[in-house]
Amino acid sequence: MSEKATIRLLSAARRTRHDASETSGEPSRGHELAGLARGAVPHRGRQIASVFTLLIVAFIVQGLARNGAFEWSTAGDYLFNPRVLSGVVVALEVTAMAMILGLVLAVVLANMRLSPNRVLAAASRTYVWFFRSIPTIVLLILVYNLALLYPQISFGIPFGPEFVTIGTAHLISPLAAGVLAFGLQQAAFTSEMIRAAILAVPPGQREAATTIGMTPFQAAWHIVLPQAFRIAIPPLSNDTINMLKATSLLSVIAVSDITYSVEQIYAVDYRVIPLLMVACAWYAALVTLLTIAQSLIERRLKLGKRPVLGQLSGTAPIGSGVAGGLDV
Amino acid sequence: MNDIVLEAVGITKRFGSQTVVDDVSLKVRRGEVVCILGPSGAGKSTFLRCLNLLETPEQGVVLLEDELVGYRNDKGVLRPLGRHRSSRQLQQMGMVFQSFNLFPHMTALQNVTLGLTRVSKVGKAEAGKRGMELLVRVGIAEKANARPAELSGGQQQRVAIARALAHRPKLILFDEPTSALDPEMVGEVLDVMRGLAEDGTTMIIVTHEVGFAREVADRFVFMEQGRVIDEGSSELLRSDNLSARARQFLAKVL
Repeated sequence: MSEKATIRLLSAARRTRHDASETSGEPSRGHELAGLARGAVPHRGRQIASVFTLLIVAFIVQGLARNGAFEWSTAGDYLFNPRVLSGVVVALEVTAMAMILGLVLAVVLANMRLSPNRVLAAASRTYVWFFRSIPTIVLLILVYNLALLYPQISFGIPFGPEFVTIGTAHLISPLAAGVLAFGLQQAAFTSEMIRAAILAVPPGQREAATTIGMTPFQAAWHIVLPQAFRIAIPPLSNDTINMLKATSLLSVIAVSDITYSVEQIYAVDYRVIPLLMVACAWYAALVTLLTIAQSLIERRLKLGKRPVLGQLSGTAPIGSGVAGGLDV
Repeated sequence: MNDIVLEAVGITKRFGSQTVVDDVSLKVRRGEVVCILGPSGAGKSTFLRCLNLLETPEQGVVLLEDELVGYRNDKGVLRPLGRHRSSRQLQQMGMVFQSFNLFPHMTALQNVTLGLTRVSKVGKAEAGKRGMELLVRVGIAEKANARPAELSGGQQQRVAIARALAHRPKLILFDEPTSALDPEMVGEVLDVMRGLAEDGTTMIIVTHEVGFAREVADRFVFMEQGRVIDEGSSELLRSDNLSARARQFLAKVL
């Protein structure tokens, strides 16, 4: 007998003795069924797909292991080569300095852009437009060759007397050119992030700061920027990771970063693939470290938890007018 | 010095072509509790925000103990004060917002002490002591180290009141302090405000809690369409002198 038919029969039977079961407290069919064990939901499609996935993974692993051209043992020999290691240090240095330069400039640019003063806003907009328009590698080469454009850099009063004059080529080493180019460009992107993050801080925060006697600068520094940075941390971390990988471009201006170092080595011994594997391994390792650092920072600031994010977007229920000014 | 703490004269505020506050004047005596009532969109909150210059009125002036707020009289022209001087004035007027506006990246205690340490340059220890006293006063000392996100709405608003009290302000402005709260939390906030009223704190309260207003207010101001339509002592609410429109409004909210 089919299951449906059974149920139909049973429910018919139950209808007739419905009243009786109510009064006698005899267990109903529903109670019996509720006590049964539950089977797992079948996922045939997923199971087939996972088998295929495992096959593909096995295929790739075998390809990596059995293809002699990778020369894994050679790669291992070069992993901690002093030149490679100094390249790692350079990559980290440039990333750190460029991000700091970018961040400081970005805060200034974001505030200029948000200023009611049109000159400041337009200057910031133009800066962002310019540095977003130029490909990083072109900018890098341009800054590296700045001495061709401006052979000397003088410090003095604009349009007035000059106090110190230095040859541009002396002032801007290839490393400094890298930091400068990356930092200036990063500032353009970061300033947009900071601007969006500042706008995401509810206006009531600045108002509350005003009512406890803070000047606009104090309100920005103690109240708005700390909250804006919390909002901007995920995209900033993303950019830091991209910056680290972008340091590979430094090889075009002969800065001994990771990529340039391995290039220098394989230019001599022609072991191109194992050395590129060394570079890949280091980039992956550094990106992993940065990712861990990001999650530590976010945990420290209790980001990514709903209550705090809700808090950041205003404590008031939707529609109550976060600014308090909507109720006129 | 007379006992008028705050005097607003002819405050007019427009948003675009709409006149939101239309020539409103108000005098508040020391220790007085003034409640501003009226329908939504009457301009109550905007008027309140004009008093501490969160909104810049097109016309009218505010005097705090006879001192012009935010401006100086320069031979017949009102010129804006420098930021530091106007900030000093504003810190003498506390404000409690509808949506609390606590600083989410700081603890409850830090929210209260921030103005003391950063603005008044009070030492950390002293500010902490005063902050704790205030948190005790609003009955939330045990949550001193909690962040706003960990507090209920009622608790947040009580911290906000403590923050507004930190500078020992000459008066406190309340902008619908219970409107964003769940009903069961309204009572705890009103209790704190009742306590302040009993201690003789000068307060201007924009509220929809007519029952509470009747209990604590020394004076009422009814606003509608940006204007004051009725004004008087608490007896006014019961008297027949009340204007028809104010009576209509009361009938609706009670």
